[in-house]
Amino acid sequence: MGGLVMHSTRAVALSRSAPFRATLPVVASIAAASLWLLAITAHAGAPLDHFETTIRPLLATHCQSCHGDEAAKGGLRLDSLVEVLCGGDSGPAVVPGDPAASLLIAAVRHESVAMPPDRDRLSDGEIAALEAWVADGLPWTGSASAADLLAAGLPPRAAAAPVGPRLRPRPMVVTEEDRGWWAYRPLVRPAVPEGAVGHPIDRFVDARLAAEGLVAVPEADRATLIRRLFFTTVGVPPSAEEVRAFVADTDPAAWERLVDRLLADPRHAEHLARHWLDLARYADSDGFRQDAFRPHAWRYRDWVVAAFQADLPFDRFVIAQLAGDELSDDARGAIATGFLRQTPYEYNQIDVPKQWTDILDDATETTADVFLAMGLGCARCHDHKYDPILKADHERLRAFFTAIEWRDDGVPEPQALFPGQQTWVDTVGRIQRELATLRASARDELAWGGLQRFPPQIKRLVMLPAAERTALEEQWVRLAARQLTFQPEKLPEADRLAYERLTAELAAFEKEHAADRPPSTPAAVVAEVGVPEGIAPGLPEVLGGGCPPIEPVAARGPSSGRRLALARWIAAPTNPLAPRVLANRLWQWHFGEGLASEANDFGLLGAPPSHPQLLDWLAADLVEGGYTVRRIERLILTSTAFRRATHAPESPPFTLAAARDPQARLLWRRHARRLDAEQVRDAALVASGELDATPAGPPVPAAKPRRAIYVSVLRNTRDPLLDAFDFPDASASCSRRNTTTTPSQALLLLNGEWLLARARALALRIDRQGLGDDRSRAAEALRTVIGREPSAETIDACTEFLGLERSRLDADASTFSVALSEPMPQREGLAATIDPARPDALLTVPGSASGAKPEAGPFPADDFTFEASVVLRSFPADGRLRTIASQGFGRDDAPGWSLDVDAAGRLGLKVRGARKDGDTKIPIRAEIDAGLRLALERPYAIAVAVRVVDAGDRRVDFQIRDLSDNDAAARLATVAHGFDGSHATSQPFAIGGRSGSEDSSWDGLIDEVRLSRRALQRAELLQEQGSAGDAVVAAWTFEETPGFAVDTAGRGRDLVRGGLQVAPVKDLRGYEALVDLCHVLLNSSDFLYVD
Amino acid sequence: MSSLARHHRLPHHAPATSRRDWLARAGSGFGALALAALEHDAALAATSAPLAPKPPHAAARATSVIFLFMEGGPSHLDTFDPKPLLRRLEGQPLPESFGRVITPMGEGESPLLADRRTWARHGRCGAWVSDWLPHTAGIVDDLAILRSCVSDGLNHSGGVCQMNTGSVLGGRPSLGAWTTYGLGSESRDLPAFVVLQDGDGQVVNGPRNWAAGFMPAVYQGMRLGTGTPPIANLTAPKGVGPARQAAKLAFLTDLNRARAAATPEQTELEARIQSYELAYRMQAAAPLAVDLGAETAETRRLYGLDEPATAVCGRNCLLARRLVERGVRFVQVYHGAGSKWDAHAGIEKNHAELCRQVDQPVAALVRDLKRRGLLDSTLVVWGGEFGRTPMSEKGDGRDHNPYGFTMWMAGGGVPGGIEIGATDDVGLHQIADRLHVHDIHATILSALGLDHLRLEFASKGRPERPTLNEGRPHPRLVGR
Repeated sequence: MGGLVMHSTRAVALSRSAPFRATLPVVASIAAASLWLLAITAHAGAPLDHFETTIRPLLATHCQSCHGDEAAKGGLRLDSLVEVLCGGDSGPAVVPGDPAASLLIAAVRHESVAMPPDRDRLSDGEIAALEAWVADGLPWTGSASAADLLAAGLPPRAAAAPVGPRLRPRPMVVTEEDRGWWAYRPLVRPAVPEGAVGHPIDRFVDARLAAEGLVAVPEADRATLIRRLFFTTVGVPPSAEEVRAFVADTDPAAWERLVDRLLADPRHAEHLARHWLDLARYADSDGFRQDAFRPHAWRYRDWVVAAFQADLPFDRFVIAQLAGDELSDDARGAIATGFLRQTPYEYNQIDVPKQWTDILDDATETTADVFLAMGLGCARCHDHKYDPILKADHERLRAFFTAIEWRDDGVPEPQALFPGQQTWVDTVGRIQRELATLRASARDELAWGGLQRFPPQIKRLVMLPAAERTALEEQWVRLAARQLTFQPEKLPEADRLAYERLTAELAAFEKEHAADRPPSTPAAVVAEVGVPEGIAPGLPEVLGGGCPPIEPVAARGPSSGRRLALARWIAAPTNPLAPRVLANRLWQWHFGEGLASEANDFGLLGAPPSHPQLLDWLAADLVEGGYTVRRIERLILTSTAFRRATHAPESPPFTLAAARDPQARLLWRRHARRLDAEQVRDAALVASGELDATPAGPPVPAAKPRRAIYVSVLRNTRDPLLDAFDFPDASASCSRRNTTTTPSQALLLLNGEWLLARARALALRIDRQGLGDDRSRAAEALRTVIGREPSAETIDACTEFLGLERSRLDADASTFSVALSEPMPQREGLAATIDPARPDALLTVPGSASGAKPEAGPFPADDFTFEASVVLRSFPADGRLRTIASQGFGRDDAPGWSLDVDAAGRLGLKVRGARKDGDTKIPIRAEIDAGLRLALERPYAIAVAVRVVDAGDRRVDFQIRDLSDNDAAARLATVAHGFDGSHATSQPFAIGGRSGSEDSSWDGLIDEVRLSRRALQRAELLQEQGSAGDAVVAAWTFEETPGFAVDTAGRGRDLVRGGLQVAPVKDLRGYEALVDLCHVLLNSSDFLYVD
Repeated sequence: MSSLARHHRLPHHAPATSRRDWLARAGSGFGALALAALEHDAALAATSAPLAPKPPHAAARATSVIFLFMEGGPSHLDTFDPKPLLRRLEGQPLPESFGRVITPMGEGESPLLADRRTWARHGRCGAWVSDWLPHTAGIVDDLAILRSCVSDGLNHSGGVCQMNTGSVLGGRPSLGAWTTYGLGSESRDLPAFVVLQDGDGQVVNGPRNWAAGFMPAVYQGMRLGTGTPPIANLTAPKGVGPARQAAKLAFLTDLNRARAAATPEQTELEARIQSYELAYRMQAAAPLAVDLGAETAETRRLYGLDEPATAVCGRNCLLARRLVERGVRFVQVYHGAGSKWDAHAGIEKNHAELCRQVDQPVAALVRDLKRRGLLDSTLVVWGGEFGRTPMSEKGDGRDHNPYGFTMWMAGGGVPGGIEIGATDDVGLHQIADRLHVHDIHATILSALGLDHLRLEFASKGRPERPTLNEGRPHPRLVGR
């Protein structure tokens, strides 16, 4: 009944595209009267609505699983009107307009064949709906009418087939025709097309264009070209100076020189590596619930970068990642097997066989995706429905990997051992073997903490002596053991004592011979545990089947050699598929789209290549050229095709091309591309001058200004910026990023703190150049963000914007609150703004180490006085502090001092350091509570005078004055303490937080800061209009004159902010306006897209 | 020059400068659809208007979904699925006849734990509901209670992942993302897929649950917080006043328009301009959507906003209704974020408290939708990632049970007052009318007019479908 209930709110949209046609006369000769009438009523006005809302879903749900694109039982398909009219083995399924004469209707009424069978039998309502549809003349969206079709003679059935690949017949047989598929054919280098001499790539591309009668657009201008080349090779934009130099360079070889320079640039390796990490589903965490950090994953990332930097031939690149541990000549190459360790891992999954299956499937399918562009995933459960890939192919390919185990121990450095090191290896090895024997002898389940949760099968295997486990069982036990902790106290008495003795012996030996520990690198790699029984390894049938010769190896312990055999087969010069896959990827990385657009799937479901001959030529050249990647990149980048403009002039040859090939698959023009997530981040840091170009090493938090490739990839905690710009999800191999345009991106860029901070830094950078007027500043901002020399019109517009912003700043009440400084309440002049949300909040003095003597460090290490005016805007979270100023004190036990306010507003001083005359290794500390509280949003002048030198007078004098109340007296507190040492530190003096710690930022204003090299008398304090004379170390007033960061005591101890020089900003209004302009430019399409 | 200098006007008031521009702005929703249709280019439509409303495959019964996710796995045995046998067998091991299962804490052999509830039949349909859910008991005639739900997720991560994305392994789009992809957005100025949660705890798997997986990020859910602003980065940076912000945006639009005009073939440049305009509209619309000030005292009372125990969930349920009213397509409401329902021990205290938090607000949501005529077009789904075992854990708790558990649906064309499926006599396995997560998802999609086998997205060239080609809508739930 429900099938007839019409909800037609959306139906109008469905019928829009098809013209209304008069329906055939309704023949209402059949019963089921009331339903029948309802059906007619329901669809009377709009037959196509009836078809879309009722008939199509009905056919799809009840009929097409047997009579559709997956099967055509009885020769019958019901998924297009032509098929319905052609019918099956029993003849046409319907007679249009005549339900009573239609086999289909008899079948659904179970009057002839009973279809669908009983369990799925149609309801009376559904049958009536079908009858009405037949009576109506079979209206079918997007198809000519049944009457017209029959009148014109039915077209061949093939032509009526739904668009898309054909299903393969069952059972699957892989044929010679399949092996002749373009991707699997033997690789023969095609001849370069005849015609104009020139670059071979251009001869292929241009020959194709000529054949289609199309004309390519000219090359882009030089400023566009250098920006394009920089982004595609090194991933960051050129500097304005580099653009200028290239634009001015008229040498015809200038382009090739630039290409060579950039390909050799270490940043190029970082950029290529990021493409590869997408393929390798690289992440620094496990995924799943705990998403635990993977401390050694980055070593694989660095290996990839180094491999690209060294232009490691691709065959060796492949072999290292699949079987580096099995190569006897390259022990560190084992790190490359991190490729097989990028699989997500669930730390508490007790269904061990299931998780192990997932891990092996992932290794298998990723390998097929990445090196063979074969979508093997479907064949995990069944023969592929479209491609000639058998379920058995999956199983056989998987068998190359089934012997692996995951290892996290050290990869030894490749060098001969000294005698002492040999002793280390022998002794530690012996003890560990004995410990392992004792563990293996444990017959009490309780000896394994965590084992209780596991299913009986796993418990039994863990208790089984290792020798009695099969290889597969051993793998399960090792996977389960990651969740178990051994508890030696549950061993029998004798064993327990032996275990304790061995543990102690090991610890003692390791301590005593620490210097002999051979160098090794901890890494997440694979090794082998033994060959599980079962299916033998083999290659996919369509790639020739069979199995390459497998020989056991013993590079890092006995290994089956299976992966090495597979890797060598993939990398062999005779393999036609792997070089095609790689050449296509290289093309994609430089053109945005591969010659074959689905770079991870060369099967029927991926699109065929636009230029098959060119792809083969590149692939052949790749192999013949020793499989070096950079050579092919150079070829691609020096082609004219690479240098074409994105815009086509409005003249006939190009309008023709635009009409014939709007997507420009034939490369008659280039596409502008939005920057990738990393490029957005890195380019903004380059523009602001903040990029820290340090290569390699452990991953860093996103707040650090390193290149994006070095930012931690945590599967469950994605960086908001990278996430918004389509950073891949790292669950499976990603061959092509999505490119989206979303309001979230707009909100993030326009309102988010991160890009605004870059705009501030950029504005400072420009401000410091001391350019005279707004016009010069606008032009410099444009050059820096966009690279090229801006047009006069654009400079005019930006200049005008700067002027208008200046005047707006006065009108807009919020004016200066985002600046470095803002007015201090109840006081004249400006104060430094410290906002904990800003990563660059901290103000520090570079080189301001403290020491007892000025030559050791100019800042005080014993007695001192700190003074400041402050406004606190929020209390910290419980357990945290808001720091007014500090020196050192960033980490546990680090020496230094810190003046803080706690969650209750209590003011206190902490000092830590070493006793001057005693054992300098023992830290001493004092926590001195002033017994004074600060209220929020109220200005205070604070002074803290610290005495530690005079043993008879160790005290701190606090003095606080509420500046909002002229009548309020200063509050005083004197606290004695026992700190009798030096708090000397090499860390810089910091205002508004602690150097090296982001947890204790001030929130509010800080002004009138003065630091003095002794404990001042009360009369000497600023609050008392006193002078500290020569004792002053430095002072800052944060005014426009002489400048925000300038040391007003004249000692030259200027502040930096967030590690960045804060040159005197003389004209705060102008600076703020410039921040706005820079922020707009960093949001602009000119910045976000590359032509 | 002149076009670049018009800084004073707001971007969404920009006059059309060309026919193309006019078309891009014309019509409702994301106007670029008209432009794309004009140019007969589906690829273009996909880049420039991925959220344009699209027709469903079949008549939709529901236009919106509110999925109330009880994170951590509520016990069906103590709420909707009474098992008298459990009381008789309390303290004994699970009889062999019920089969053995893997549970994460290995409680297969632990003694059975009876419920401590008082049960009654409710409504005209006479459905059993325990005394932990008195308000829900009052709406049973609007509910289809699904007693035979099954998941593959043994742990929270896999379970929550599958209940959201169809797979226990990460990387696939969530159901909300599939819905947004399939149907586009009905709202001009709010995201189509919104996520709400209680507390600050992180939902298991984090934002991965509402991610777009291999689909473009434009389809992912947007978390709406309870704070100000409700959406991350919704308001101008601290200290930037409205005039200044508007001026920046206007100037940006001018620059971007000039850039787009230089290469009109790059349609995504136009889309970029529109994305800023939508962001600008969201700045105004989202705070209004979450402003409960306009709700009557009676409504606030109905949702329990005046009671500390129910205020948080009540607020989220009320927000869900307000979002649905504004055209939001898919609202995911997490309750107990951070596996709060995960009662491995002390289930009495744990569930008594959590049931009290959700019972009144959830019932209020159904009643409120109904009286506003929205229940017909809004499918409400209630449940967790799995249920709990009849075997005890730590004496007074229950382990995870993905083998048979209860969820319910209401509205969106789902018949009320019915029960589907059953579990065995101890509530361990489903035994009739199995409803796997894939079936549940197919049913939800079907209510929205989407066919789970025809909703395809090509990833790496392969057609991916929301339920991994499995499952089917339950006939009784989709009115067949």
